[in-house]
Amino acid sequence: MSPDRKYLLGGLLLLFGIPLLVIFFQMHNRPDTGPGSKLYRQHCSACHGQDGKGLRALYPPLSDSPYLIEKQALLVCLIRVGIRGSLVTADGSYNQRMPAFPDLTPGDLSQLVLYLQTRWGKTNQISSVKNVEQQLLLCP
Amino acid sequence: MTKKQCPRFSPEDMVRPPLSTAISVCLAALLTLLAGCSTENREPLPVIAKISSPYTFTDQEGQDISQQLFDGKIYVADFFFTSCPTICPIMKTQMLRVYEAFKDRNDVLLLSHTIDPVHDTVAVLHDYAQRLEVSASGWHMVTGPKEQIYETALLYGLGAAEDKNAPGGFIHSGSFCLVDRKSRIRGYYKGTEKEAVDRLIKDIRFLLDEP
Repeated sequence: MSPDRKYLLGGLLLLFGIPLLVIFFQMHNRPDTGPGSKLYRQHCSACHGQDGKGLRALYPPLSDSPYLIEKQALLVCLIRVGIRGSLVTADGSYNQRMPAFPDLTPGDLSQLVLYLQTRWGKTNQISSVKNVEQQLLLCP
Repeated sequence: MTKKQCPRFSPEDMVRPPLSTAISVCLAALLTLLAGCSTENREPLPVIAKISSPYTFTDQEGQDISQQLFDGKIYVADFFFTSCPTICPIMKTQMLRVYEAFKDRNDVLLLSHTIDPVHDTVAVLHDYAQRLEVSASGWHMVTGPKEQIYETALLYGLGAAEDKNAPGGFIHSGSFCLVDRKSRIRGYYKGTEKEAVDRLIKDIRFLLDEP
């Protein structure tokens, strides 16, 4: 390869490599379009945000939420029944009412829990439809 | 043969989409710059209606809030309720952007009316505002007699009503209403859309330069 050609290739790489990298990262950050993600956008993101960061001291963030760690067995009921009163997390204490979502089916809940756990949880809770149905029986 | 194969895998072919993206990014940046320069030549915002509300409400600090407080000031009005499970959290996220943009100015104010005054007492609004980390000097969250609040919503051209079938029990407009220094409505912006609120912030800056 002649030196001229090398410079040309190097130049092209520089010229187009940066936009290519930008596009690559954009594609990786694109929100996924699975059923759990869709349910999250429909029912959760208004308060907890697209990024799950919550809203200041009003709505809690989802990463490190106790309902994704030590209270994960209560997550299905939390979504189905909602919550009133105060909620204490590592980030602070919250007192807004979380609405109930009685229309979510066990299949929806299973997809949603899987999505929440994958995106913000630390453990891989098994959230099969059968598991969800069993947990729903124990809801208040 | 190599001459025939080479063009098929040439870098030019592989990078065509990024090139067009790069060009559109540059164009967008250029347009933004041009838009920034041309604000002086903008058409004035339309005058939609004059607001004169006879009512006095109470804000999160327990202060009386009447129309006179907003004389000579630009403000943005909306209607919400703190336990709203649907659009209000998005509206408040967007209104926070307006708050942050103008919190150092005392001639730009925000006015949020609760349409659920039975639940949203002064104490509830105080806690809500504190959790949003906003000050009453820039953002008044007011409560008052329900009929007066609903009448005020009509004055602003923003509908609000009780509806037992709606999530949370109320329906209301998700729009923000921009009012100028002379108490005249100058625009409506969807409080759930970031782009609309970008436009609102620009229009407030534009109104600030208006004599």
